[in-house]
Amino acid sequence: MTKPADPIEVYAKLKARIDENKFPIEPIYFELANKIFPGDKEIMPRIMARLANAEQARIVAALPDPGLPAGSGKTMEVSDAFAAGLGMDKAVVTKHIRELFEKGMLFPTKKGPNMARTFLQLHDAALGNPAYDSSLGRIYYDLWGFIEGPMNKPAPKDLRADHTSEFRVVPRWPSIKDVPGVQPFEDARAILKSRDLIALMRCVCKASHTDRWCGIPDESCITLDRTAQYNLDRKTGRKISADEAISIIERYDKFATVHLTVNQREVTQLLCNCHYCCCLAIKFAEKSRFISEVDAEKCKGCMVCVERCQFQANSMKKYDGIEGEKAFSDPEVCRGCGSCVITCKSGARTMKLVRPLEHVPEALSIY
Amino acid sequence: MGLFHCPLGAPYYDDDACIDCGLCYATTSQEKVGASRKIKEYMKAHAARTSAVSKVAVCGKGGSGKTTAVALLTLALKEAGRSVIVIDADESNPGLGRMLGIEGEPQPLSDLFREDGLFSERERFGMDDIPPGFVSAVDGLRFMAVGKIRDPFQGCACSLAESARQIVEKLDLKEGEVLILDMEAGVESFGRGVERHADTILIVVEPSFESIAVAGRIARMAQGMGIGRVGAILNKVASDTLASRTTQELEKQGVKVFGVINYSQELAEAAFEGKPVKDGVAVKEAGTIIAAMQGW
Ligand code: SF4
Ligand code: SF4
Ligand code: SF4
Repeated sequence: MTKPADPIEVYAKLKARIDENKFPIEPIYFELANKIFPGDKEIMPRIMARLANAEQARIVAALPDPGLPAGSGKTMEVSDAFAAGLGMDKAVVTKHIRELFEKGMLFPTKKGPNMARTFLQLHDAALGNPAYDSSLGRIYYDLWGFIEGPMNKPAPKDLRADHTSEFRVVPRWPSIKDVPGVQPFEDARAILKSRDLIALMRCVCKASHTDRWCGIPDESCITLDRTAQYNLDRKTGRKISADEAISIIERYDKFATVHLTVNQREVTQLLCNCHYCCCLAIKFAEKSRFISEVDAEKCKGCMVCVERCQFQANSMKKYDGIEGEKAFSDPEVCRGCGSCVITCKSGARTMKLVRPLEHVPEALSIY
Repeated sequence: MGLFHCPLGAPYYDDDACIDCGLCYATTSQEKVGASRKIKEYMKAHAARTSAVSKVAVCGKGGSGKTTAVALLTLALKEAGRSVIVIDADESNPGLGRMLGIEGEPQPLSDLFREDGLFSERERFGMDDIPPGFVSAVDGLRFMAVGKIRDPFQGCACSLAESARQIVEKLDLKEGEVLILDMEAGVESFGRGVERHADTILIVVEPSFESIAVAGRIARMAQGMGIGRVGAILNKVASDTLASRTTQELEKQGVKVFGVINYSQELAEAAFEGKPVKDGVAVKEAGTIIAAMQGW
């Protein structure tokens, strides 16, 4: 693992690169940017300008196609009148739309091709296609990294008080495999085995943080079911079997990353591998039902666990009747990711089930 | 929220799976609460309940009379003209085969799913594909067992649960066939993934506080997995008042009661001696339960 960088320094470098690479932008990009991120006159219009050329921008601005018959179902087609209205050849329009779909700017919706509705929808799609890396340029990814802000915000201690958690921590499987009462929604292997389709894609957060230092490969986002299909459709994912997915997460056990998924029982979206140097969601991710505990008698004081914890839950302390300082996990801070348990060479750490089933809501809800 | 956050797994707004609940573009907390409510209602209403009853998992706390219930349901389904396949997936209970009138034990299914097993690579299979040694048949009923742990060093219950999961998932049923799975008891074993591919979950409940609470938890978990047809069978109920109170409590927990199997001496003796059940009244009661299940 590379040594941790200072998030503030990283961010300052990013800003310098962005300032150096100013380019003039047409008014139409402000119009597009305003649809999903009103108020931002600096960065989002430039992101739009990188994504779509002049012709493409005109197409996007004119969508959704009013000439499409209602109830035509999810489609990428546009009507002849739509192309004619723009004064473009329909074949050209279709080609542009396909490209913007692959880039993640346009989506085949029930109302025909349409632009992302929200900032995050665009973020999660438009950072995922490595095939366009060179045409979008590094500046494109820097712009995204900049808009996300420096990665040094402290993780809140009391999660539910001020924020609702869309994500939840899934423990590393080897850390809980011997704990009785593990449920399918917190068993990474069961989650993967129960899905119809799995596609591995490049992590969008990692793409926009080119200076990240977690060391984990870019291709670390395991998307599931419909999300997997979407990624296969636009060639941003590669289909893998459940067993392959399991071997991938096993290989990633050496990184100090945390599995996150949507905070509900049925996991049908993704299972990801997150690190605080680049992940937007990790700070607010809900705790798992487990916490990590130390057997001070067995602990050798190597401090690997202190380094690995993404939430600063681990520290060293003096225990009564035991010589030297030994590791300690703050039960209030630990989110139960199991990362420190699987790398404790002296077997001093175990996971303990501490929260009831109800801790994980049936459906993601904002309470 | 972005691409990966939709509770229904729609990859983006206005995808075919999107119901426009508004959660992904909600900004105020009021909007968020409203959207969450829509999603919950939708999930409740659309969990897989429309399908015909074909794979039924029966579970319940140890001692709740689950084995007896399975035996009765089997008889009632047989009387209703279905071809019944029973899988004993409860490695802790030895009595089911005998209560169904099966002599001897079939070869354990876990042998089929071992790494070197016949089905280790199979994606789908039908009953006809299963070699005869693994199935004990008596008139209109086929019985299989996942395996039992006799020797504590032989392997853990998880691998047996894994075989059970595979068979429930991969077995294609023919018209008229119905699968009943006698699951390991209790809430902690629920969730090894065995029940995910069932379309119906029956929880056997006896009138006790603990049993009711366990039923509530199992029902919530099953619904969370998208299994919509989840209900309870009351067993060992000595009086009508007790039955109606238990029903009320269960409904408070969100568990629908499919029916009651009344306590009878004949049943108790059959269970005690591990003899085939024949009690006509109880089989009729089980028939009512099946009707309730199908109508749900
Ligand atoms: S990794 Fe294990 S041995 Fe090392 S400090 Fe942590 S608990 Fe102690
Ligand atoms: S102490 Fe930190 S690394 Fe260990 S399980 Fe808790 S959150 Fe994970
Ligand atoms: S509106 Fe609701 S159902 Fe549609 S994509 Fe957003 S969260 Fe999913």
